[in-house]
Parts: sequence; C-alpha cells; structure tokens
Amino acid sequence: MSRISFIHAADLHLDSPFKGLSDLPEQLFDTVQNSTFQAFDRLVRAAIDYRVDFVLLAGDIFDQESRSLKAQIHLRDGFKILKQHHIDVYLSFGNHDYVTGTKLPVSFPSNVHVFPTEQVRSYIYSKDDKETAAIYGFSYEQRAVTENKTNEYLITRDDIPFHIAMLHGSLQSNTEHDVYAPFQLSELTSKPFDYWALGHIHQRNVLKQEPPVVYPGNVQGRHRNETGEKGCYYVQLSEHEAKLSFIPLQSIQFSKLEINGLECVHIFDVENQLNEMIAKLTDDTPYLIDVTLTCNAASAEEWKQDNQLEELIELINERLIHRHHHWKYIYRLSLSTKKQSIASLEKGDHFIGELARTMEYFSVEQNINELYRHRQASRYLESLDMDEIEVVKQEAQEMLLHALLKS
Amino acid sequence: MKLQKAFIYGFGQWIDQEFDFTGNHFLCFYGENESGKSTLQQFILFMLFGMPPKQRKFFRPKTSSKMGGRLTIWHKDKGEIVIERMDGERNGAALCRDEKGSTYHETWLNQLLNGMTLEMYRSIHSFSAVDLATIRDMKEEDLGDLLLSIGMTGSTQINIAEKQLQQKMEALFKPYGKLPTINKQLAKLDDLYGSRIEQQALEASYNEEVDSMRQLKQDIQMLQEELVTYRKYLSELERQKQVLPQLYEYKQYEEQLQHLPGEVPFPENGLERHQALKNKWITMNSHVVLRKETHDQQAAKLKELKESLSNDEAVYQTAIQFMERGQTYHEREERIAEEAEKLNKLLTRINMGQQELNMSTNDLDFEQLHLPFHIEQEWKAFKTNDEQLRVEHDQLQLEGQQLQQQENHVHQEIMSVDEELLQPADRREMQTKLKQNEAAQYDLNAQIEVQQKKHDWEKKKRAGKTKALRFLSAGIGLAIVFLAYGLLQQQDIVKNMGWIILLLGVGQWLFENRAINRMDQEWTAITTNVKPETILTDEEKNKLESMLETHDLQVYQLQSLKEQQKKIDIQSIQLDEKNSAWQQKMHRHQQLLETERAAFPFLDQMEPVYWPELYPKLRDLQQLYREKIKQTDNLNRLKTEQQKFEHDLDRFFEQLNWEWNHVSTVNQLEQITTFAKKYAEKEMAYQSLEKSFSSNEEGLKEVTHQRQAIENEMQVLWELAGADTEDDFYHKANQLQEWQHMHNGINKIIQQTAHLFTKQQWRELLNQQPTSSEIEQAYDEKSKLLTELEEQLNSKRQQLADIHAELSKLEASEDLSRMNHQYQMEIEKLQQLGREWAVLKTAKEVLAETKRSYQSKHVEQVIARTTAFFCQLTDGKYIKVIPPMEGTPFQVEAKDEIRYTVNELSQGTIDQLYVSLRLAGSEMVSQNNSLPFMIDDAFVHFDSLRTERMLDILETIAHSQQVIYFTCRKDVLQTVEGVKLALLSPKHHDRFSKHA
Repeated sequence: MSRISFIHAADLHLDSPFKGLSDLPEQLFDTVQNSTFQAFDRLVRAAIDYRVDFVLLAGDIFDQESRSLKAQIHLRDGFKILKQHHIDVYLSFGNHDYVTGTKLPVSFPSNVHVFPTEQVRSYIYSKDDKETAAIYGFSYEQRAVTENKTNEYLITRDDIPFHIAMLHGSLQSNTEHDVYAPFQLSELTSKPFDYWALGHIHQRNVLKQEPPVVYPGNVQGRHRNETGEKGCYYVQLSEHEAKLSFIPLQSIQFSKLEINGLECVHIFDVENQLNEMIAKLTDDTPYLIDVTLTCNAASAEEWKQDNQLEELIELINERLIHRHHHWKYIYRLSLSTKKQSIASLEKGDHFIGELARTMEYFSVEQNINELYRHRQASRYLESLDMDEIEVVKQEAQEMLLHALLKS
Repeated sequence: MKLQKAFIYGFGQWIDQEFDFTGNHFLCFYGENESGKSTLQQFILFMLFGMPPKQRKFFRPKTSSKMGGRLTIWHKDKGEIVIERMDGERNGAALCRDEKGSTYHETWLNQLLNGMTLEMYRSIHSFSAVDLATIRDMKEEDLGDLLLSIGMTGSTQINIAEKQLQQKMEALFKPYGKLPTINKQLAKLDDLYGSRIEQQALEASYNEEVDSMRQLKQDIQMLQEELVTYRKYLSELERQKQVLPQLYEYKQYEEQLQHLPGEVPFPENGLERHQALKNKWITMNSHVVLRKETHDQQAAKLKELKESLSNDEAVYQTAIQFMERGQTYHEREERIAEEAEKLNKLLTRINMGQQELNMSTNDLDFEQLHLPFHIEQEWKAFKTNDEQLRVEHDQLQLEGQQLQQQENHVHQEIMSVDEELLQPADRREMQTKLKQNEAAQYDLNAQIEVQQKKHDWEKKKRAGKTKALRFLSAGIGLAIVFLAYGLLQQQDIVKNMGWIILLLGVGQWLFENRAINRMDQEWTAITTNVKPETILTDEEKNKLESMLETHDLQVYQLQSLKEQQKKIDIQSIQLDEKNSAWQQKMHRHQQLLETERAAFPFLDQMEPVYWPELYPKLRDLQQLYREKIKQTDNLNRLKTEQQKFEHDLDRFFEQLNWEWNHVSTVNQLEQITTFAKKYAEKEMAYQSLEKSFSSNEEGLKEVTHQRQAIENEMQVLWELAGADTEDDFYHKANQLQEWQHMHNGINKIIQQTAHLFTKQQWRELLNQQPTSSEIEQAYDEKSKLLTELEEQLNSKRQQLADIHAELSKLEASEDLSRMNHQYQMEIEKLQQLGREWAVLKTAKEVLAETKRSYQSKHVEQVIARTTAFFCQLTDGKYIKVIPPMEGTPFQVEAKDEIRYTVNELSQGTIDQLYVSLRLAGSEMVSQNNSLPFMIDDAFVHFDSLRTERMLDILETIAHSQQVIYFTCRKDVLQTVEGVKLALLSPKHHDRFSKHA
C-alpha cells in the first residue's frame, strides 16, 4: 500500500519587505528582514523532521519587485539541505516570480524540479524506485496568466498511484485579489487528482476536503491584514485518505488589537487595557501589533496632544521589545473617533458649517497633486485610494475644527 | 436658543447651585476675581458641549463626589430642554429631555446645536479679554486678515490655522525645498533608491561575475594546462641542455655511423688473424719477391741468352751445317786427295791405255768420246750400216734436240728458279724477322703476363681512384652542407667543421691519388713495350719459314739444275762432237766414218775393223776416262763442293763480318767450331738456366701459391669484412672499431639519457639538434612566457579570488535585502507623511475655499453690521469698514472720508473694530439659531464711555440674542441699563439671590 507525504507551501515571497512598517527599531529590523527566510528555514526543518517525500512550492517564491540575490542563495541553500535528506522539491513560479522576470544565475540542486513553462506538465516522483506520484504544474512565464488552466491538467498515466496538481491561481469568484489562472472549484474536484496544491491566496483555506483543494496561505504574514499563524500543510496521502495538518512557520505574527478608549478617562487606562490585551497574546512568536483605539474625539485630541499616545506606545514597545523571548511591537496605532456629524455642522451658517459644506464637496485628489504628482515624490508615493481619501478628509476636517476652534 | 437655568450638582467651586438666566436677554454676572465667573461659564459650556475627562477632572469639586449638573435651555423648535451631564455617568455624555419627557443623547444635542462644538461656540459666541490681547500681539501686516477671520468665525483661529497649516505643510513639504520632512524623506528615498539600484546592479553583476568566474575558471584551467606544458617544456629544455653534449656526441656518432654501413661485418678477431696472416704473407711475399726477382733476373738472362741464342741460332745452325760440312769438307778433302790419286791413277791408266792405243791424250778426248754400248755394235755395224749411221745421225740429231730441249728446260728452270730465288738481303731480313719474332713472341708472353698484372693493377687503381673521389665528393658535399648551414645560421663552429671536412676529403683524395700514381709509375717502369707489329702471325711466320725452306730447296735445285745444265752442256758438246764426228764420218767418209775417225782420231790409226776390238779397250779406256771424268767430275764436284763450301763459308763469314779473306777454311772451320762450341756452351748455360728458371718458377709458383693461400685466407677475412682490399679491410677494421666505438658511445649515451628521454623524444631531439644557445634562448623565452603565464595565472587567480570574494560577498550580502526592507519602510513613511501632508493640504485648501465662499456669502453682511457697530463704538468717528480686497488691506473710513488701514489705527480703535467684528459675526451666525453670547470681561481696557457704548450695543444685540456678560468691573454695572445683573460670589450666594 503506497503512501506519500509531502509539504505543501506557497507564496514564500522570500525577502519581500513588510507593508505598513516604518520607523522600526533597529533590533527588530533584522528579524523582520529575515522573517521570510526564517519561515523558509522552518519549512525545510519541518520537511526533514516529518521525513516527507517531497516539498511542493506553488508559486511566488520570490517577489520580482524586491528580488535579491540573498533570496535565491538562501533558497538554494535550503534546497541543498533538503537534497542532503533526499527530499525532492517541485517548484512552480507564480505571478510574483514569473519565469521571464529578472533572475540571477543561481542554479538549484538536482533535487529541485522546476516547472519551466506555462504549459502544464508533470514530473514523476519515484519512491523506492517505484513511480509513486505524478506532480503536475506550470509556471508563470509572464506577470499574468489570465486563462483558465484547469483543462490542461490531464492524467496520462493511470499506473501511478498519486496525482498531485500544483496551481497558482485564484477562484474565479474571488475579487479581493488579482484573478490569475482562474478556476472554479468544481473544475478541480471533477478531475481525478488526489490533491490540489494551490498558491496565490495568502489566506490559508482548505476549499475542499475530498479531494483536498488547499491554499496553504503564505508562510509569513507581511502586512497588517495577514494576521494569525502562517505556514504550510503537511500532507499524508494514502489510497484511502488524505491527512492534512497545518504547520505554522511564521517567524513574526501580525496581530490586531482593538482598544475601547471611550471609557478611558486617562491615557493610563488605555495603557492598562493595552497591556492586558497584549498579555493575552501567545509567547511563542514575535508579534507585530496593530492597535486600533476607539475613543471620542475629545479624548483623541487630548491624547494626541503632546504626543501622549505616541509616548505611551513607545513606552509599551520599549518594554515589549526587551523581553527575553519573543518581542512584541506595536507598529501601528489608529484612532477611531466618533465622527462629528458633518450633516449637523452643515446646517450652521457659521464658518464651520461653511467649512463642512466645503469639505463635503472638496476634491482631495485634485488638491494634492503638488505632492502626489511631484516629479520626485510621485516615484514613491502611491496615490490614495477612496478610503484613504475619506480618511484624509476626515482628518483634515478634524484638524481644521481643532485648529479653528481651539481656545 | 436661550439658557433658562442651570443647576450645578458640583462643578468647580459650585456645588448644588442653581442659576436662573431668565428675565432679561442681557444678563450680567458681576463678581470679583475668583468669584466663579469662569467656572460658571465653563459649566454652561460643559453642559452644552461636553468636556474631555481630563478637563472634567479639573472641575471636579473638592467637597462633593458629584460632578455635573443640569442646564435648561429653550429652543425655538424643541421648546424647553433639560441637558444633564454627570462626570461619572455616560462618560460625561449628555442626556437631554424635552418637554415631553423624551430623552436624547449627545448626538441629538449636537444636531440641535447645528454641530456646534465648544470651540466653535467659543470662537463665535464668546470672547474675552484674552482674545483681545491676542490681536495686540499680531504683526501689523497680518492684522487685516486676522480681523477678517474674526469677522468670519469670531476668533483669530482661521488666520492662525491657516498660518499653522501653511507652516506645517511647509515643514512637511515644499515642491522645491530640501529641508522639509517629506523633501528630506524624498531625498532619503532617492538615496536609497539610487543605492538600491546600485545594489541591484551589483547583484545583477552577479550574472556577469558568475560568467566571469566561469570564464576565469576556464582561463585558469587553460593557463594551468599551458603552464604544465611550459614547465614540461622547460624541464624538457633543461634536460635537453643537460644532455646537449651527449646529444651532439650522439649525433656525431650517428652521422659518422651514417658514413659507415649499417652493420660492419667483421670476422672474429679479424685484425689479429689478419695480422698473423699478413706476417705470414710478408714472409711469403718476400719469398715470392725474391723468387720473382730471381725469376725476373733469370728471365732476363734467359731472354738475353735466348735472344743471343736465337740471334746466333741461325749462325749456329749454319755453323753446325758448316761444321758438319766441314767434316764433309775434311772428308772431301781427303776424298779429293783420294780422288786425285785415283784420278792420277786413272790418268796413268788412261795414259797407259792411250799409250797402249797409241793415242795421245790429245787424240782422245774422252770427254767428248762417246762410246755408247752400241758403239761396238755401231762400230761393228759401222761399216755395214750406213743407214744405221744415218739413224744414228738422226738419233744424234734427236739427241741434240732433246738436249737442247733439256738445256732449254733447265735453263728455263734455272731462270725461273733464279728469279724465284730470294735476294740474300730479303732472306736475311726474313731470317732476322723470324728470329725477332721468336724473341718477340717470348717477350710478348712475358708482356702478356705483365699486362695481366698491370690490368689487375689498373682495376685496383680505378677502384682506389673511385673511392678517393667518393671521399672527396662526400667531403665536399658535407662541407658544402656544413658551410651553407654555418653561413646561414652564422655558426662558426659549423662553418669550421665544414672546412675541416673539406680539408679531410681533399687530403684523403690527394693521398689516395699519390699512392696510385706511385704504383702507376712502378708499373709503367716495368712495362716493356712490345710493338705488336714485331710479332708475326703464324701465317706470316709459316710463310716466311716456307719461303726460306723453298729458297733453300731452290738453291739446292738450282745447284742440281746447274749441274744438269753443265751435264747438258757436256752432253751437248758431246753431241756436237758426236755430230761433228758423225758428220765428219759421214761427210768425209761416208760422212760417218770420217766423222768417226774424226771423232775417234785414234780410229784414224785404226782400221774400223779394229774398231770393235778397240772398242772394249776404248771402252775400258773410255770407262777409265769416264771414270777419270767421273773422277774428275767427282773431284771437281768435290772441289766445287769444297769451293762452294769455302765460298759458303766465306759468305758466311762475310755475313757474320768475320775475317774471312785471309783466313783459311780450316781456321774458319775452327772458328766456327769455336763459335759452335761457345754457342753450345751458351745453350747449355741457357738450358741450365732454364732449368734453374723453371725450378725457380716452380718455387715461385709454390710460394705464390702459398702466398695465394694466405691471400685467400686473407680474402676470406676480407670477404667476411666485406672488403675488397686490404686497405679496405683495415678500413673496415677501422670502421668496425669506429662503429663499435660509436655504438658504445651511442649505447652509453642512450643509457645515460634513457631516464631522461624516451626513444622517440631522443629521436626528435636529434632531428631538431638544438644548439645550446637555441635552448638557452628558448629557455629564456619560455621562462619569460612562463613567468608571464604565471603572472597571468596569479592575476586570474586573484581575479577569481576577487570574484569569489565578490560573489560570496554578494551571496552573503544583506545589503539589497536590507535596502529593500528599508526602502519599503521609508516608502511607508513617505506614504504616511504624504497622507499627513494631504491632510494638511486638504485642510488648508478647504479652509481657503471655505473662507472664499464664506466671504462671498456673508462678509458683506458682517461688514455692514461691523460698520454699524464700529461707527457706534467710535461715536461716528469712523463711518465705514472696508474688508480687504485683492491688493488692498483691511481699511476703515473716517467720517472725513479718509481711509486708514488697520495698521494705521490706534490700538483702542483696533480693539473696537475687533469687538465690532466679533459682534457682527456672532450676530450673523445667530440669525437662524442663536446661541447665547457670552462675554468675559472683554472691555477691561475700554474707558467708561467706550464701555458704555459697548454695552449699548450689547443691549441692542440682546434683543435678538441672549447675552451673558461676566465682569468684575463695578463701573460697568453702573453704565448698563436694562440689564439683569447678578452678583456672583460662592460665599455669598444669598447676595446673588438678592440681586436676582
């Protein structure tokens, strides 16, 4: 009775910088910088510890935008270690590390089998000199693959016990992400594959249990929306069942904390709350914490005054960073204040009413060109999206009100 | 909206205090400092707009646990509303209750107040001395704007906000700035971007570096291989240098060997064996030479003897003949004597017969007397037979004819023989020729022998010359090669070698030639030139010999012929006599008789009758006579013979030039005998010499044979050595020696160099035949190249190491990774700053826009009201307020129509203008839903008159809007009329109540 075991991971995004982090303390920077590598190292360790037959990496191993030699070298070195343990690697490239993108001539060891083109093809994995598994897949040659590739997944060898398909793409219905190599779940499950190893979506998701259609998610969260544990699936396939277990690999976990500061009279109350919530976080991994403080405008203005909140966060961070084990770090604090009713303001004949009215129809985009279309700045600045513009408006209004009305 | 009353549960110093705001729209609260005016004011504001906890905490009463209160207001739409706020409840949020008892929350209240906030309220509906103080601090140029903003919002904040926003914006970003935060961040990002690009390029150079590394590795491998080759080559050169002397020696050996046959066959111990043979040969040869000399001497002697013998042979033969004949001569001499005696006896008998016959000798001519046998008969028949006579006559006639014929014949024969007879000179010549021929024949034989030997010599000579020539040509050829090579290569050694070889060649040639010449001369000396013409052919010889024989025969024949002739003559005479006798006889007596008688005169005396008788006598006589004739003839013949002999002898002597005239025949004969004796002796000597010669020859043959045997043995040795001659043999021996020497040399060198070179390498080296300088040069060149290559290799290795280092550095480099992360963070930061700026910008623009729209909507109205208030406050001194237009500042027009910019006004006037603006603004805002206007000692600096005017204005305003005025100035109280006054003193609440 044949069995195989493997690790399924995707979206390693090696050496890809985190989003939304700035002014990170130097001592955390290294950890952040190396987090994707560490996650990969843990993957390698896991593959060795679990004595898997092979490892599937379903695309987006690197980021084209932030490719570095280090990433390729580190990857290669990891593969070398796997080779020492006779673990094969089946690797496809995705939209972030498409084949024609710039790569450096770092060649992988022989245990790594790369799907070279957009044409779906298969590699045969032999266990104890017996052809045990056929692994199907394709790589992105260009930045995008927009056609449905599922038709190309065809089993040609019935004599091989296991057929595993690797697919870097997204459900047709998924509109949150760029839709690449779109598929419908039924298209996958209708085919006699034993396992669909998906990639591209960073949120891990087992779309179906039998046969398993799995997004393992990325191995390391890289911005505030990629919270929680990140890792890979350890899969054991036998003729009758598929056992999946998730192995966390992340070296830094993103977390969101929401503090209700409405009842807080003093900023220390906020601090206490915050400390309490942070204390509830596990101690097995470093955390990057995004704190949303809900409070009324007056408190917000008060706490903002003299950088009280900033100082508070600094104070907490100072403490959290210097913990013995894993640090925790509040990288973002956002205030959520009760919105002042613009509608009520608008009714007033007073200047503020006029201001509110003006604000409502004010086009932020047209007025920030000075910076956002600035020759130099436009290189780096992303234009603001609608939400951000709303936030800007809100903040501008609050600022104006505060500026105009402060005594 | 109007405030009705307030009940304070606890707020600051006020606890459980109630205030009533009803009665008059213009409320004035008087209290001294610290009397609670501001607290009350704060309470009202707290009730209306709430208060942050911290601030609330500030107003928490020291003596009461409660903090909060109730404010009853009247709203034109909603009626009476009670607002209650407690610090401990709802976090200070309001709870409102209308007349119907419905409760509402903060939001509702906020909407009721048209979104008015505390700050807004403060800026619009309240002002204090503090506000006024701020305008005093303003810079002159900003005053206009400030005043305008006051006109709009009732406070200075628009202006300040604008300025702050501008400042903040500028602090954050200037399009062409460097120092603002965003600019700095941009510069930082530019830097980072640049470094990142550089770093990316650097990492991209990984490609090239890897390529370079590959290339370098290849290069290095090639260089290493090349180096190995070069080192090998160098060590090869070193080895070559090391073995160069041996190489040249080897080469020399080999070249010399080339001149030698590939293998020199040579008998074992050939030289020694040859030497032994040679020694024997020399001994034998000396024998041969000795024998040969003897042989030659003997041969010469023999020749000489033979020559002399052969020269004398004819003489000798003749002499022998003569001696023999001399014997005959002697005998004949004796016989002559005997014959003469006989003759004498005969003559005597004839005489006696004659006498007997009576006949004189004269009568009888027996000579002519012919008495044939038939005479008797004739005589007998004489008488009888005339006819017979005639027949006789005829017969005589016939006889005569026959005789004549005979004579003729003989004569002719003599003539012919005589003609044919050789001339003595010719004969001598012939004889000489024959003799010479004999001698020549001998010489010829000798010469042929010599010739044979000479011929052998010629062969040797030619071989020698050819060899010499070969030497010469080979020498010259080699010399030319060397010279050419030497000249071409400018190698003196080679050139000199060429010369030496040339000299050796020529020397060898000359030596060889001289040896040949010497031998040649010897041979030439030996040569006796026998002319071939002196040798006669057998035919000639035979001819000559036959001619001589014939001659001898003819001579003999002639003699006999002469004898015959004589005989014939005699016969003829006899016949004639007979004839004449017969004729006489015939003629005269019967011709015959007479003739007979005449013929036989003795017959005269006799009768023919007697004749027959006479006849026998006569016959006898005649016989005698005949005998006498015969004897005489015989004698004569003998004498003739003797004479002839003598003659011959004389002739012989004459021929020999011997003295013969005065020498007797006997002497001559003796002489001849002596000669013959001598000759015989000579011949004896010759024969003995010949014997000795042949014995010597035998001996010679034997030694020659022995020598030949030795030579054969030597020849065998030579053949074994492949030599034709001894020289050749020695040459071969030398060659062998040389060959062995060279082979030993070669083997030695091969042994010496075997560990250094393979056979093929050695062969190649030999072919190249490098010179020391060539090797040195090559070595130097290669060394140089090697050094260069090593340098190159080192450089390449260095490069490789560098590249390795570079690659390792690149591979280990965190730079780009770090930069990417940093870059991302800085981008994030920029994004934040950008948003910040966007907020500021939006705020600023919105503010500006609001200002514009507000101005266009309300400023005119506000200014109109301001003018009214300002005019009133200045008691008509100023009649117009002109808001700032583009390019013109805020201005006021005095009643004399002179316009002053605000900067030109006195502080007091500015204060008045400020107040006017505030009042106008507040009034304008309050048109729809007026909130109470709260003034906190704003007119501290006003004089009483101006205060009074101010209060008048307030009173006017109070008609449409509740005015609450807090003051600590009693005089104000006095100036105000129609104002509800309230005294504030927490300690004296009753006083308040009283006033109330």
